Amino acid sequence: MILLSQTAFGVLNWAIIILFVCINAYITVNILKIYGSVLFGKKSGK
Amino acid sequence: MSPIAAYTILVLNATFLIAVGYFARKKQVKNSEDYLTAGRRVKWPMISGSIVITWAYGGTLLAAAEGVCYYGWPGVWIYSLSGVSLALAAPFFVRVKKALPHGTTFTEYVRLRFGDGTHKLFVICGLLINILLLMSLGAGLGSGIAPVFGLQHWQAVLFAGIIVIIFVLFGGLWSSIIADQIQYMIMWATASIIAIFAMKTCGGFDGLYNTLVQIGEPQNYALFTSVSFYDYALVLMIGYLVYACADQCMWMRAYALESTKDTLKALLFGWASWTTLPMVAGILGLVALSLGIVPTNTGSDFLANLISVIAPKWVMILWAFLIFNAIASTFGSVLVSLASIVTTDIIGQLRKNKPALSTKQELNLNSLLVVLFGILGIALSITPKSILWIDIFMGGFLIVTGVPIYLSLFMKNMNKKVIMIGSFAGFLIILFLGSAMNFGFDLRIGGYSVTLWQLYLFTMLLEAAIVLIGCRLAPPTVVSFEGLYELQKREYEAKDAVQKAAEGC
Repeated sequence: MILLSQTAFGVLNWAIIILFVCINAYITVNILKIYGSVLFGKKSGK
Repeated sequence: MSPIAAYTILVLNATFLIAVGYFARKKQVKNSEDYLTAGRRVKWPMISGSIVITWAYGGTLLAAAEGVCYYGWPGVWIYSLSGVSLALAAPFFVRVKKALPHGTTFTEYVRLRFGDGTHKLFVICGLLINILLLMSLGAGLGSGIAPVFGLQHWQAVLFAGIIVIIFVLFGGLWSSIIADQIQYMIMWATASIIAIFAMKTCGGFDGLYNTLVQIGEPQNYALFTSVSFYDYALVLMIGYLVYACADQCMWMRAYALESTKDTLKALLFGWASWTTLPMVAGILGLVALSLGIVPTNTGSDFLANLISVIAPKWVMILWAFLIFNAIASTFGSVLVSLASIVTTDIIGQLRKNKPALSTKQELNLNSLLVVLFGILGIALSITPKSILWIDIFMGGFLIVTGVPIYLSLFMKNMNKKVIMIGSFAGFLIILFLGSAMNFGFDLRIGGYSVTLWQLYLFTMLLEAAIVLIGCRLAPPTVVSFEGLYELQKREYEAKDAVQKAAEGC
């Protein structure tokens, strides 16, 4: 069993949250670009 | 929440889903191919989002938190291991998509490459895996929604199940993919909001750490423990190492992609995004532990119990949307997957020498299958079950279907019969021994009690040994990737010509 210190525990959990938000924000922006191109007729989002 | 308010929210959500399905049917679905592969017109970010939602079923959100309930902090990262298979399989998906541009199912690839015997076994495995998935998802609908809405488990399963059947009935894969995008955005926004409330309740990660130390259970702040490694990580890792290859929902999304060159990007972004989701659910599970929250029926309702304690009503409503839509979408995808396996791999093969079904008949057949499998899914999950247990059980069948396929990527000469024998050996072990052990049977060899991960590893190695040794001894009989393209092209053109002639008459 490897026990985590308070700092390691905080850093690992924060890293997970930040990664979660960043990746999903990137995909979401690209999905919105596709919806934008469908609604406003621009050929973007690919 | 009062039952009337609960039903009102579910009805509003259902209306939205059914409207999406109706729109998809009206605008996008003209034939069976549109129904099963969304017309092969979907762009990569939509497929990535759809992958996240498809895999973010009960397992990801509920079982990941359930894992933390039993194994402490290691449960935060262990569940994510089950997604590694998608990253490993991504190049393979690209290759198959290039070779089979008209492909619909994974088992279709198996039939063309490895022959009829292996195909039949894989169809049985595919049906078993998808039915276990339906059970897991149905259990998730009950465990995820019932505690928040104050409904009985069976009420939540029945009500939500019927809504999903109607929604998918209209638009097939198009319904799923269109709804997935909205659900995906709701999903990660809601998970972030719930994480903020959870952090506020427990005083940030420092507060959470101090409370967990005070509780005095070291596994709650350990990077890993031997119990979590052997009983959870190894079982899940081995069972799910080849999951993506055997997952028909994933194949349908790969086939639905508009551009073959974006396949890798779509799958890898989908995987990366999905991987962080069970981790966040696991962190929420830790918060539940620190607050002394205990599961009610099975560990699967652990997370839902936390939300009903820490969050205000509007977050509970968001959670209900999140869990309902995430599970409903996957439930719907599995229904379409089952329909596609039966239509393409069973009925399609049985009717090989008979007049082809018209476009309308094919579409009606798919719709009927969606309804029948939907009813089966509701019936199987009407009582509460542990989602984690179903997921681990299902892992065994994934090994059977995945190992020969993985090996086929690295071997030039393969023999159809050897592949079939290897797959059958694995299937029989998992069907009898794996099932017995999952139901509590203690397998003893020479006084030593065999664990589940050891059985799964043995099955994997046995299959690999049969395939590797057998293919060295027997002459090669497997169709190459280049040959696959021609083979499918001929079959597709013949079917198309017969269908057009029949409709012309």
